[in-house]
Amino acid sequence: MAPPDFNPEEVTPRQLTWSRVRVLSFVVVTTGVAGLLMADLLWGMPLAGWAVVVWCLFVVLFALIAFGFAQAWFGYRVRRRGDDQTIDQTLPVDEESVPMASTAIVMPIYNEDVRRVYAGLRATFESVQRTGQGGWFDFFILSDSTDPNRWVEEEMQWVELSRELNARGRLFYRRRRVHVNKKAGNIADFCRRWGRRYRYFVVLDADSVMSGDTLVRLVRMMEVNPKAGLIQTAPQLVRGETLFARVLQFAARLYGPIFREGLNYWQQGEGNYWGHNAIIRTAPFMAHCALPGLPGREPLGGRILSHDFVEAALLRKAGWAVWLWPGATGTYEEGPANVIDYAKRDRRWCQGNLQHFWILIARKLHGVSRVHLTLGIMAYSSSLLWLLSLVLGTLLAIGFNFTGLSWLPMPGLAGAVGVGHKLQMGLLAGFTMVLLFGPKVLAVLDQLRQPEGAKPYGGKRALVKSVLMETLFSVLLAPVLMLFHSHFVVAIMMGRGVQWVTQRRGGDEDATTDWSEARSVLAGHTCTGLIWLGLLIWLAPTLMWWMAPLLIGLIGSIPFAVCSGRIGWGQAAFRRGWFLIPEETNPPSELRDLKRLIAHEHPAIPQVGAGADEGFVCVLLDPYVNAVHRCLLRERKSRAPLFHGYFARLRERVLTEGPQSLSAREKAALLADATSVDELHLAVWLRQPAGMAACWRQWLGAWSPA
Amino acid sequence: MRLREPTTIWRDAHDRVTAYLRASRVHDPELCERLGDQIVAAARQRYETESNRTPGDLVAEETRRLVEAWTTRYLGPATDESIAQRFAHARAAVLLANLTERWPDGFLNPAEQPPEFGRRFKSTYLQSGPDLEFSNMSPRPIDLGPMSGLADRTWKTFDKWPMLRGLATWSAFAAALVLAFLALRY
Repeated sequence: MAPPDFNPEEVTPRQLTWSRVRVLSFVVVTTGVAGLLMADLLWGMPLAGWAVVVWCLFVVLFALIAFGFAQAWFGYRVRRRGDDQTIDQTLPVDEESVPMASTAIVMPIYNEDVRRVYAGLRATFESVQRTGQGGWFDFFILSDSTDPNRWVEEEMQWVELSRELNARGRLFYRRRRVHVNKKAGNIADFCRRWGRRYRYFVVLDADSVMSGDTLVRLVRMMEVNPKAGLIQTAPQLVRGETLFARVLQFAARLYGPIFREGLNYWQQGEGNYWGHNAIIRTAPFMAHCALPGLPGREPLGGRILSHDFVEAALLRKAGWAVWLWPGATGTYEEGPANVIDYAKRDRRWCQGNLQHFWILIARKLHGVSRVHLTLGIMAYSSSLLWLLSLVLGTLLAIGFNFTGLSWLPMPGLAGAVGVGHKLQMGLLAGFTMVLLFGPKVLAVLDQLRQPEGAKPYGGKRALVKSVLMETLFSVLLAPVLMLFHSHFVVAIMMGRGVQWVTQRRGGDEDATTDWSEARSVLAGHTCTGLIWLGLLIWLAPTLMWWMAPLLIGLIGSIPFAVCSGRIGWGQAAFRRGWFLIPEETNPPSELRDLKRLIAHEHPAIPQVGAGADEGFVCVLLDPYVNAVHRCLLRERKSRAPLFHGYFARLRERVLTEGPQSLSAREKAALLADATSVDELHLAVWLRQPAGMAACWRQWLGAWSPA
Repeated sequence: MRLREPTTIWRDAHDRVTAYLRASRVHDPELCERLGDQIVAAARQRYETESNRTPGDLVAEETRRLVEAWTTRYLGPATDESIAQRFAHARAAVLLANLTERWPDGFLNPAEQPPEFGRRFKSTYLQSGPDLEFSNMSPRPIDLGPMSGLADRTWKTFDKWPMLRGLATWSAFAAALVLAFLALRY
């Protein structure tokens, strides 16, 4: 076996520390200079009591921007020099010589679009078979669905797919009866039942697609790195239809590589887990990553929501390396389709990340794990700090206008070197802009350096145009998200948590935003913008121009959300060659398959016109849907007489009054009860019609085999 | 329960059971009729001694028994399955093995079927997961230090005394106001 290019064992702690010191030095030096300039300006002003608060906010926020830039800069440098130390370089040149190991591909789902889930899984399955290593992989659909229709559809799609792919014994379906601990509990349940059978498992999200080559390489990377506990790939956002989703996936695709390379540069084997599209060594995961509850109750305490960061920290604490594979291709997911869905997802993540305050103070965690947790917390808390900083800035300006005091009566530090205050302020603003927008320029330069140049993005002109428009788009989006995040942080601190909801994704047909939804969600944003604008016109007109991007973003948030959430606008941008990504200009086979499968999938259950109860009715009506569903139910050995009575009453109601007389919970309870599924099926067909609701006759008449 | 028009009732039951057999992909109309007759006759006979049961219930039971008897020919007697489970598994196996497409008249047919039919039926069994290999994965407490204990106790106290919680919240608000006032002054 030829030796690999990189061996993590040979990286000395000194080398690792040195790369971290470089990143930290960059942040400290840039923040130090900016902090000094800012302090000089603030302490030259009257009303200096506020200055401490404003300065502290400035330093924290500037350090975050500087850290982002540092990551992009070091990532750019590493890619340019080609001296990256990534986990894929641990594979020998003849990587086929590395043995494979049993691996489970698990996909936890919760009331998802069944057609999309199975199309993605099928594309992944077929891709794995094409590698010739399919025998090493088993696929598991781990359902936590509560919607009876989705549940039934999932089962029948699974049967259909197993038949079509001849995948019996390779593709499995399991639905939990009790959905304890959500996704983390779902994965833990898999581990308890079958974990011992597999050396590794790969977690997919409901919208994930991975190529077989990538999966095979991941297994081999784990095999040659026996100390690796987890390898995370960076999934590329794809299939965005709306303008919002397209801009998002363009930004992630173009700017992502340098940021990921920069991240890998300083974290190395002390990386993070992002919840999916990652391979995990089963035994240490089972030994160390069963999550306990946190002190207190939700939203800040109780069950851990964002389990991934914590699992990575626990693996690292136990001595296992957690790697990011920054250059991984063939790993995909979908993003939210519009601003509102994006915010909904952020609300869940925000709550999960804020809970990490507890973990942050846990004993014996690795320092880098604490950095990851802090960055996660700051991803949302920083919005509140931005808002505070802007509000204080406005109050200061208003204060000056009221008092009639001059802005900078005292000579500053810059005066000593012959630089005026205005220039000093301009320098500071320019410096901030460079750090904010510099990574975009670096990403474009990095792309132009690649052998294929700008071609995958539609050519140089299209690339530059797209970057400019994306920058404008992000400027308008930033204040909207700032207000959302601030609201979430405050609400969560006040004890208001979130529900577990199904996410609508970029490729969903029903994922567009209508005016009424936008009005109801974003009215507060618009009002805030209008009030802010009114105050500035009245009390501090000069500041208004500085605040224009923020105010335009807030005031125009409703039309912005509606228009950017439209598929038509996304398609128009595509036709013009804007926001193209390589996966669109040259789609990989997995995404081509996915598109074909989604277009050609047919319903797995016969349609009888039962509307919202289609799945439920089919289980009772169709002999084969019923048989499959019944086979997957566990028979209760014994049951209390109380339950017998309860289910008997429900069964009678379904037959005499129809399924619409039952709540969703009651229907789900009936579908989970083997006896009821048996008895109702035969009763629907064989009972005298006189004692049955009219709808059953109608559905029996409309029914024909699928 | 006494039936006023027993013949009509049983004729209706016969119609319904043959409709059900057709829905279960018993494609041969003659076989359907024959099986329907057999099921209804058995149910009618039982009704003589079990008149407290409805004809629908008895027909349903006889249908299950018929499928169970047919399945036993290929799989042998059930050991750890109930009749209801067998009934479901047999139907599911027929679907998964595509038996009704390849041998349209094979399902529930008492006549001898080709050996391949039996082999495919026997080998097709709905398996939702590989054999279970249970392991333990129980949560281990994370040592969160003394802060967590204090916070936990505070939380519990707040839960017990909501007034105290309100008082603490408003105190924090008042403190923020005082801080703002001081910042303006100095």
